[in-house]
Amino acid sequence: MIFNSVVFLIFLPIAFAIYWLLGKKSLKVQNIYLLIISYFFYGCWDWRFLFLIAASSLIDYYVAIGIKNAQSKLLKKRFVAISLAMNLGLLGFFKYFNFFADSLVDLFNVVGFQADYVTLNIILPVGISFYTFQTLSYTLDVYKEKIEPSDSMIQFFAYVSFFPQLVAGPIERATNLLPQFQKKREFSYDKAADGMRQMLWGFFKKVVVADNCAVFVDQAFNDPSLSSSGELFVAMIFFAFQLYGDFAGYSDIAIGSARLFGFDLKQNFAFPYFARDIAEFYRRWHMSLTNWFKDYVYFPLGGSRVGLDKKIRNVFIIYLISGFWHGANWTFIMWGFLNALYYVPLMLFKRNRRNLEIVAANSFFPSLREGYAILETFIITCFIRVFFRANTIEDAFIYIQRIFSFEGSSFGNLDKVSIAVISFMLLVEWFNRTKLHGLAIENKPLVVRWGAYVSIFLMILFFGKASDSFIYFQF
Amino acid sequence: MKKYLYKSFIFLFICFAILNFIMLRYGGNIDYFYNKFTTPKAKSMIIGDSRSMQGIQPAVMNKYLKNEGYTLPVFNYSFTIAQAPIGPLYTKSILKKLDASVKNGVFIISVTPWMLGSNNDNDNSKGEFHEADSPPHNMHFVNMNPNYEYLLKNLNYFHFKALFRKKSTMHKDGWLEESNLPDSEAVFKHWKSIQKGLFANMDREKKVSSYRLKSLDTLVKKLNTHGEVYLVRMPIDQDMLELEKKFYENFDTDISDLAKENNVPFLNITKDIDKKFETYDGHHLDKYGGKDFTKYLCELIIKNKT
Repeated sequence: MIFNSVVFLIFLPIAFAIYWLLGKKSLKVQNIYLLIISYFFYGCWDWRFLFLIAASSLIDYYVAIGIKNAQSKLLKKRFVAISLAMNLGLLGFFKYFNFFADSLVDLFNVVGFQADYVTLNIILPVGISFYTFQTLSYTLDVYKEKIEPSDSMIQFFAYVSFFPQLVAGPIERATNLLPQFQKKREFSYDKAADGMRQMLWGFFKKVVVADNCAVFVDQAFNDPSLSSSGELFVAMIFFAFQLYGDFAGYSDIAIGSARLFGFDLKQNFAFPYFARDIAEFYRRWHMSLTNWFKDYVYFPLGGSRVGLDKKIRNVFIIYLISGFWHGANWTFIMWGFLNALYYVPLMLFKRNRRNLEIVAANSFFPSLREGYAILETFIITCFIRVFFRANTIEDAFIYIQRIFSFEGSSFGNLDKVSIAVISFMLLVEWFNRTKLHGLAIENKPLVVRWGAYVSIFLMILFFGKASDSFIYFQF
Repeated sequence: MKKYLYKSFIFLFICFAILNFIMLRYGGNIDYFYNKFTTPKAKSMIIGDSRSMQGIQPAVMNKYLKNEGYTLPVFNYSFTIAQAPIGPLYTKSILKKLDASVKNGVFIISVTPWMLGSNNDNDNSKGEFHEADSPPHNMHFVNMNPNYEYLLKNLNYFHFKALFRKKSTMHKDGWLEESNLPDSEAVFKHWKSIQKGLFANMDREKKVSSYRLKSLDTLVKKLNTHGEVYLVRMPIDQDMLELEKKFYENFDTDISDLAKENNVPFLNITKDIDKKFETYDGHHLDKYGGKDFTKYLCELIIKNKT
């Protein structure tokens, strides 16, 4: 079941109504019910992989108790190792087996050995990259004594499989989400109303912005030789908005849905396209993943409190792993590498923590300098993203090369709808850039609020496109 | 909670009212097929693919056949090759749309070789049909206005944006009026090449299905009990016809045999070489060619009337 489907629009209100009817009884009933509907939600995609989530949850549940009860540091570490091996093993098998098998054979062939390709027809379970990281963070936090292990299997299972964020995040830490499963939720009007607003905005970003841009982007990336330089440039820009609309839209719907059930998930996107440098950009883009890597990889490696050479090494490690997390393809690794390359100079000149606040926090317009910095960051990240979108590294180079060949001067048959909806989205988000989401307009007059709701509904109706997936489902 | 439910209800009500208004007022502009399921049960029918959906105009038929003793009006219940080829599923839907009390209707079944094709990997005898999940087969209610079942099950088919352009209109009688016509010979050639490409793809991906041919026989037999049935092969450009021949060489013979067996006429207009009707892509009659063709078809029906 995906968010932008009629089935979900039927499922959600029914699930919501029963939840609050049953929820009056007890916390246990609330959690059991959430567990059932979450498994149902995931099972609609492929019920067989429910066993995988259940197994992952079960092992981490007992591992965490083991860590807590272990008398020695060594034993605690062994429990952590079990969790790491199990979670990364699952991820490795389902996501990376074919990549490693292929790469190894390629390597053998390069050095002169003949080897046969052995690849398996492995289906990637949707959301595996997200929920394995979520359960991993739980055992690591228990090990670091940041959180007590859960004493209720139902609570823990419901936390791992919580349907709004199960498939594509945000990757919720146990420290934030698990305690919310340990306390009976009470209905809050403000929370639910804001959740609805965020969901509406998420739907707009997904079906109007992302899915309209996708048409132009797919055409250009499928065969760049058929497009002019101008068209390829525009498609590259559109891809940035497609990706943002798709993923940030998903996050908005997820966070909004969770709020309807009384939960607060962490913000996952904080208006990244207003970032003034790459460091700020990644502090605002897919924040739950950035923070995960920061806390569980970057800091343990020493972070920035080590010598310069190690600092640089750490940055490269983080970005390369992040690239690899996105997919078993060299294009993602290249994408990670280029991000690191773009980031390192900032760090060397100690400018990576210069822009911690949102741009123009105290004024409406940014300064010229800020405007230029935003544009520069955006354009460079767009070029780097060509590697993210292309099928192979070679294709990405051909794509960029063709942009700079200036062949065919036109921008092609530019889709005016896409340009209009992107502009609208940027404008609305600029107005609300200090808020938690683009449609946080709870303090505006009634006419403005309801005008916005109805206008967005109309835009979804008239300009929305139907797609049957989200980009981040593949990761 | 009450406040939340109240406000949510207001919002949903506004959305619902807007949607309702658009569906009722502009249903024929926002979806090619929606109006097929919002109209009353049919007395007489045109059955077929996109060719007959655009090329046979019920209004023209009603005008020319009004004194011939048929139970009218005629409703065009044609879809596309992808959605509704001849087969048990289409037959089921046709019978659902048909007013079962009619005994003297007129039924035009537009037949083409592609209408009898099945995907290479489908085994029809095991109930495998590529069209199974599409409308009209996923529709339980075929005469409800507004039709929310269609909205819920086939939301992907809607193009609300099309309301602003109104280039295509699905009339209440089931005829699809296409106003987006080629404005030059070059555009016509380009569109025709696209159609040829589609034919070539279908030739690769499909095979002639004897199961569908049997199903056509069943359909003719069933409709025969409700009135007069005419099997019609509509005109197309000669080079497109060659592609059809390549796919199904014995098509004319098989349909002729089936027609004889059921004692119904087979009006093969592709053989009327002196008759030329305008298409906009070599395949689909444009609205002017369609009007001339429908008139000609009525003349043939009157001539063949039993």
